[in-house]
Amino acid sequence: MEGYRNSITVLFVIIYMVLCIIIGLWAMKRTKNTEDFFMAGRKLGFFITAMAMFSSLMSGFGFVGGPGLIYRMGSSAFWMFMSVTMGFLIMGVLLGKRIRLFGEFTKSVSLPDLAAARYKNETTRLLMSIAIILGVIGYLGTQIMAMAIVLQSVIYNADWIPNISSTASILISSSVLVFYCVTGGIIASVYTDVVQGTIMLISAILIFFTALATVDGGLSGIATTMFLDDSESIGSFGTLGMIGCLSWYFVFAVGVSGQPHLITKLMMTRNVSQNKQTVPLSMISYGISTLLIIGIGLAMRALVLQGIHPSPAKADDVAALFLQSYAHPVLAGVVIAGLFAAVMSTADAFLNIGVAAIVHDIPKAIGRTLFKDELYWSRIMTIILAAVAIIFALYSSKEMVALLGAFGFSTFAAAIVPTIAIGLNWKRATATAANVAMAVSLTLIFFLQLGNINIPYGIDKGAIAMLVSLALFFSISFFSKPPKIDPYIDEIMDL
Amino acid sequence: MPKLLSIISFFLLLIVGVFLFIEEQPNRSITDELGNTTTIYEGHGIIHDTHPSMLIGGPGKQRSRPIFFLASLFGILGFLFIITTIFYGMRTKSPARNPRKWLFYCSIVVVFTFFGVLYFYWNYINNIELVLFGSLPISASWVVYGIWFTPILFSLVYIFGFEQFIWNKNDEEQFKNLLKKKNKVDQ
Repeated sequence: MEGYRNSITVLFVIIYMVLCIIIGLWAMKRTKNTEDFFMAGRKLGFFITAMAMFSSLMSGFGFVGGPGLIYRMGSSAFWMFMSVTMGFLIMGVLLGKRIRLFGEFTKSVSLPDLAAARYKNETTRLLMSIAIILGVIGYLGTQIMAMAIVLQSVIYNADWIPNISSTASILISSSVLVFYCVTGGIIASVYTDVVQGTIMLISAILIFFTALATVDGGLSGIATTMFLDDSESIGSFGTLGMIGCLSWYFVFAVGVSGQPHLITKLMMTRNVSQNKQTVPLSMISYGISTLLIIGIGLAMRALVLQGIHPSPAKADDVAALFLQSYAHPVLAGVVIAGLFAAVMSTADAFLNIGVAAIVHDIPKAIGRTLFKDELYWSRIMTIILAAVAIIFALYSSKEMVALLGAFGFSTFAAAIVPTIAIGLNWKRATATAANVAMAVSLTLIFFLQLGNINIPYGIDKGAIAMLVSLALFFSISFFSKPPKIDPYIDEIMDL
Repeated sequence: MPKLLSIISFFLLLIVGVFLFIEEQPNRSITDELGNTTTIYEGHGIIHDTHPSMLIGGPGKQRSRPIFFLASLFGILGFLFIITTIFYGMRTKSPARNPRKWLFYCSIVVVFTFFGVLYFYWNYINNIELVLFGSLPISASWVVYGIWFTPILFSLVYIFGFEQFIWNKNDEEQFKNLLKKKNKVDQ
């Protein structure tokens, strides 16, 4: 079977892509209007929602970049990925009920819709749409790039397929993604998420145990090897140090409530009661899928330190290298399909919310009807938005996938946590506070990131932007006149 | 509670501000052939000597001791912020439906776990020796088995107290009535 390793991997990837196309065609029949396209008709069951939520968040940033980050920084990266389980809980208690009730009551089909209804302010809608589009292009570009890297490495190792350029691999993988998003909208997206989530869970468990078995002495052997090389790398805070790790924990735990591709899924559920199962299930699923990140990252660091595996040129390569060298061919095939799954499940969610912002929210914010047939234009815009993201991917910097992903995550967290996660719970929150918090946090995070500003001790830039955003949001709200809230909204906030 | 959240955010921001003025340790100066001196700050990782794609932490005592208490304070306030958001999210108007008691117990476990992380990390950097617990150095095991797993406690309150604290049939009824009322007005 070893001789067919690459063919088996390619076969799994092809099966997976065909499955996505079939789901897209099936979902097209069920997509009849804009509410179906963006909100899945608000009919999703708890299992589908939970799987869609966890797989939307576990992106290429996690599955491709995560092992690389653990390999590079040791136990520091635990703080980033382990905080997300706490994040799911915070999201569940802050937003699970409120966002669903607000969504149904105000007939919102997107997050900017919801923000505009809550604050009765079109500038809030516009700023949130801009935040979403900016975040989506960057984040989606990163996902497409990660997907192309995996596809290219698969094809490179299969002798019977001619090698293709990175541009061609970007185009092939994006075509499948765009196809099922254009045809089936969010319905195709959530149902492929279920397939993708299941693949991710199975691969994570199998790979974790494979990784531990690869190193002599298992986890103890890994820990001892890392300790002997550098005690800090396997201490409480790893190579990054205390404050860097704690700032990661803060931004990733609180920031989950600001991820638009995740929280909009809570608006699609059949009813609020489902949250009882949805929130814990998505939290546990994410926790289990983290095992793949930890397993590969730690095992590869130990194998390289022991001289068993040659030192990789880039930390991002460790996941693919581990699968090619140490996993059973069938398992490698499943996991590589899982890597695709992780990337695609996030990318499709981004396409969906980005298109909603362009077709539905910006025209509303500026008071004009730009697109008469929203469903038709949503499909066209899906293609255009993907094309812009592909261009971004082709020309983006070569920073580590995980760190680029962290930047995208923080951009959303800083702009959306105060406005939505706090704002849907706090009657005193004002539109001015929300607008200032969003505008300042976006400006700040882009200034810190694009200006290449170095922050001492590796404090996360996103944490700074989110704290500034929160501080502004609270202080402006406290110092302004209490807002007049629609009596219905007021009653909903009391429920 | 928003007042508490705002105070915590300000203090967290203040601590970050203080960190901007503390010189990162360890650091070293390099002088090139032209006599220009550059300082390289290595408090957040140093490139590995033989494997450049890897970072090492270097001397833990030198980099973590000077900032230990300030960083710990950031961590404690960060966890307080998180706990407060959970209390805030699960608040109800009726005192009989308030999960405060259970959330308080869970919060104590979270805070205790974080203090455990700090205590064992302090020991780890001061007496570098490998004591394994659950196949990991004891300081890392508090993070993995403690910090990672504590949200499960809160989620148990969420699952078992869902009907009592979060949402039940009466709430559903109230919402439906509200929706009907609004639809009538809209028509």
